Amino acid sequence: MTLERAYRWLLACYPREHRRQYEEEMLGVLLDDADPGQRRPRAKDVRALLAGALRARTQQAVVDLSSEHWRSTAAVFGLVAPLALLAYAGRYPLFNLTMAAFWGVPGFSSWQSWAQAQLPWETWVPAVGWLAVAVLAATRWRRAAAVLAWPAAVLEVLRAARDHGYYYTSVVGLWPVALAVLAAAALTVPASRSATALLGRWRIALLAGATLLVGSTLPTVAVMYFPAWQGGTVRTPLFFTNAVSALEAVLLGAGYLLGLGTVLSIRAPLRRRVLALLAPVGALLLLSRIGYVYLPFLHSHPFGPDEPAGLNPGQWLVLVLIPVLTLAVAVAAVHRWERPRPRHAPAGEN
Amino acid sequence: MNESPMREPTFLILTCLVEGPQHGYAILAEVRRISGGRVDLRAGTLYAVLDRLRAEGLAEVDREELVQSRLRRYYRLTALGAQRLAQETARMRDNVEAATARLRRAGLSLNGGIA
Repeated sequence: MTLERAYRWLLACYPREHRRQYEEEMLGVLLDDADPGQRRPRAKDVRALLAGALRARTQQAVVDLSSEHWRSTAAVFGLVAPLALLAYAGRYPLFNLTMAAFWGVPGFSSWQSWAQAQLPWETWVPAVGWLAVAVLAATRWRRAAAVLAWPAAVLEVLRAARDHGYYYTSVVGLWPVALAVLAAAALTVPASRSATALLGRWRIALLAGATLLVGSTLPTVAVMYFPAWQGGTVRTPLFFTNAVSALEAVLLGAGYLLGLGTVLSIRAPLRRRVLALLAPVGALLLLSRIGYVYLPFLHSHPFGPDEPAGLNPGQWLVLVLIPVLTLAVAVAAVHRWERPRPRHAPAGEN
Repeated sequence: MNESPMREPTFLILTCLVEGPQHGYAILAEVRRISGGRVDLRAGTLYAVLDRLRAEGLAEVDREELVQSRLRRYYRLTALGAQRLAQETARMRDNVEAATARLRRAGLSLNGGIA
């Protein structure tokens, strides 16, 4: 490899805009500064070029991430994510309360049975917390939403940490942690427009509908009131990991599709960014649901919901790196997709 | 305006440009000469500083020329750059004078020994 080619490899580490401005000039300086007969870059030059490239890329990332599109995305995500977390956290306590009210406790009325359903605080506090965050985020109280979102996110971390000794629950419980941290971070970003203004009322209504369908007990109540319609049971490795009736699966599926469709209907620059922010959550979800089948590194411990076999540090490192790298790649992909493309002159035109 | 202290490579690069426009390699060589070889500026560092100086309006491109089919760009100091360099020089001079006076009062020579 010639010295010039080696320097070109190093200069390729710089962002495209920097290369466009300085690459040829820097190459000239590097070659002018080389000793006669020098065949490899000096270590000092390699260090300075790599440090310069890292600095330039960091500056570029800061400029890109502080754009108005990302600020608006943070506002939208600051509502969408708490609604998803509400749907996730609300199902268990609402299901138990509904069951208590429906089947009743011997000697008590429905409402008394409802009151008798003593739920542990960690099952209902997150649901109440995310409900409050979502309401505040939708009503232009973003600062208050952010202040509340951080302890709610910490609670999700604590819930996951509590299960760290159990292989199954520690992996399965990671995606809400990532979503909660991203939601709190998004709400902390100052935005010039509110989520309500950016999404419009009908999208807010659709998201609320999706949250109700997925997070409330509507599907369960429907099954209880229309037992003849419940059909067989459905269990899939990705969505319905706990067996549900066919009717529940249809209603829950409708909720998932409604939420996804609403997010996909957002205008393109925000939609791309919301999906980029959801990418690490999706990666963890996939990993927790089907990843262990294909990734041998998760196989070192016996698998099972009640197997007290914690992950080893290497496995934890991978589980942390996967969402971080997925987010970095997704954000880079958005910026690459939106980069102005050079316009080619038609053939024969010079 | 209360500017933060300038880093040494930045100070030396601005100093190189005081007497007239210079291209990248000439700046590298001049910085080594001014600092007596103590500051061995590399191209990666030089262009990081030049890019920032241009963004801050302290330096700008004077002209471009092709030498042996390679782009050579000359940079010059702006009025703002000259003002900023003068401020930094004054700040450093004040510090040097204060330190020198105290060293003398303490009976210490500037070489670190006892006068």
